[in-house]
Amino acid sequence: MIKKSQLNIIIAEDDIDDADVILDVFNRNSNFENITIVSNGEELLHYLNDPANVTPDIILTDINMPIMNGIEAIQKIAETNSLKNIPCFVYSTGLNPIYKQKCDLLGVKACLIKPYSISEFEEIPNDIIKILQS
Amino acid sequence: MEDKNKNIESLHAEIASLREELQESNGMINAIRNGDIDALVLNKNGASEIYSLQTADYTFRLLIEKISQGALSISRDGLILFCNEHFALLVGSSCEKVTGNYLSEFLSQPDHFIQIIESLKYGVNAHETFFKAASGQKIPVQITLTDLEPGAHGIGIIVIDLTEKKKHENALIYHQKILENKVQELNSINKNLEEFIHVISHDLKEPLRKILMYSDRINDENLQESDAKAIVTMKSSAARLNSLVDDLVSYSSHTMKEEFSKVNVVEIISEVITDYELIINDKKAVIQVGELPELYASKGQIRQLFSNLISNAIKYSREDTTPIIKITEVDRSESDPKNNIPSVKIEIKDNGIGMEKNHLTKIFTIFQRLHAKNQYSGNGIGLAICKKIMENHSGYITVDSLPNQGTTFNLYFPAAQ
Repeated sequence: MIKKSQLNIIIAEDDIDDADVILDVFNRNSNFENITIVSNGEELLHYLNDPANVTPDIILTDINMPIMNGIEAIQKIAETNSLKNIPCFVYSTGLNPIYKQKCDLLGVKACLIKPYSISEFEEIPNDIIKILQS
Repeated sequence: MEDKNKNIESLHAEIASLREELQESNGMINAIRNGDIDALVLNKNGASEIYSLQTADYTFRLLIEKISQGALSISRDGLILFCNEHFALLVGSSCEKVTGNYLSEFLSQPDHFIQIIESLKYGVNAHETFFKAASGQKIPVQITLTDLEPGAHGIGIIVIDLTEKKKHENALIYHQKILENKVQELNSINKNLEEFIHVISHDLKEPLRKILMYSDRINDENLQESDAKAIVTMKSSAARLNSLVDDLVSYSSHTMKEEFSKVNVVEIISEVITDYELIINDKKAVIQVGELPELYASKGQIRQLFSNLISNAIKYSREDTTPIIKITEVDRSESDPKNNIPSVKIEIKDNGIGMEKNHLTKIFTIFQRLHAKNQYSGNGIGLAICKKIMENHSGYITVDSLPNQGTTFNLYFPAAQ
């Protein structure tokens, strides 16, 4: 279903330091071809709803972001027919159980905890692929 | 002669009429004597007039007169034949003024009288209604009707003043409302607090995570020994701060009341023992679990409770002694010494290092530690959580301890109703 080595991913991340690390990590992973970074939920929706953009294969979003948080964005994506089938992943520093519950309800593929070391960050792209293949 | 006869005849007639009158009077006297008549109602120029008579049964009359409830007797059409002082007082009038009036005149809704009388036919004899006092005040009352037939014509009525009762009822409803509001307020405060803790934990952990992540990136090969040591200390402090935030969130999440169900404590303890299998084997600890009662409790919290207590008992064991941990139910007939209500007492007794008496009060406070960090690990949150869990179950925890002898934790749960 998903062709390896050509994956397009869009990442919503408001933190510049984390964005740097995650962009670097995905760039170095050979399975991903196009990596787009936006800085909040609203920008994510704008990007997805703009017909000029290629629809990504995967969405990865932080939860706590200004203007529109990750959960709200995923809610909107789930309500949009053309977008609702894109696999969504959430990652955050510590997971509020209420958010976890909402993610499960919205069909989020996995809720990941933001790692405490670069080496663990490196695992995120492969973890995402593993979950999609299972 | 004829005149004489006529005279005799008229005298006979007079005698007969007098005899009839005498018989009637005798009958009346008998009726009064028997208590059949309370009063005489005579129709005078179209208005009713009442003539009360003292009945033979003085005791009963006195009872009715002096009883601290309103008492009336009425004719079927509602004319008040008798009223006691209490009733007169209730409606702010005097007995003389009340008798001879119609009961409906004292009702706040006069037509209610018809309903009351009609329903008597169907056996309904108690009603709540309102009387109208002379001052215009509405008085809530309960009235109970008793048909006095065939002993006497009319209906007896007992009137109970509900003013005080209604006042209490209203006060109760009012306080109930206040309580409900307070509960709602508390719930919303709890909810806010929970959200607050999560936001704080997130916002505190975010920079911590970065400190940890980027300090990991520092290549300490190029650093002087003292600088490298400084970095290690900073890193371990950041890691510790991170675990404190985690514990704070865990503690606050245990302040929540969770759903209760029947909990098999023995089963839960065996799960906990499986969790600690490695360290139990390592320390060669022996855990003896007696027969324990089923609790109505939050399963997750009870698991946490025994997990914390068992891990503590293993952690604070004496190096030269095999750790023995006994978990038993203590004689159920003993009632809770604090609240003096029937309770279930479970004891967790170890033979570990124990504690000094003056330390015992501190151990249930969050982040209180009795030992240096390098001696025993932990943030000092386990027992604070245990205390919270016991409070969530309307119970409590106490501790007895002797240095170098061991520690006993006592759990008191309220006995099932």
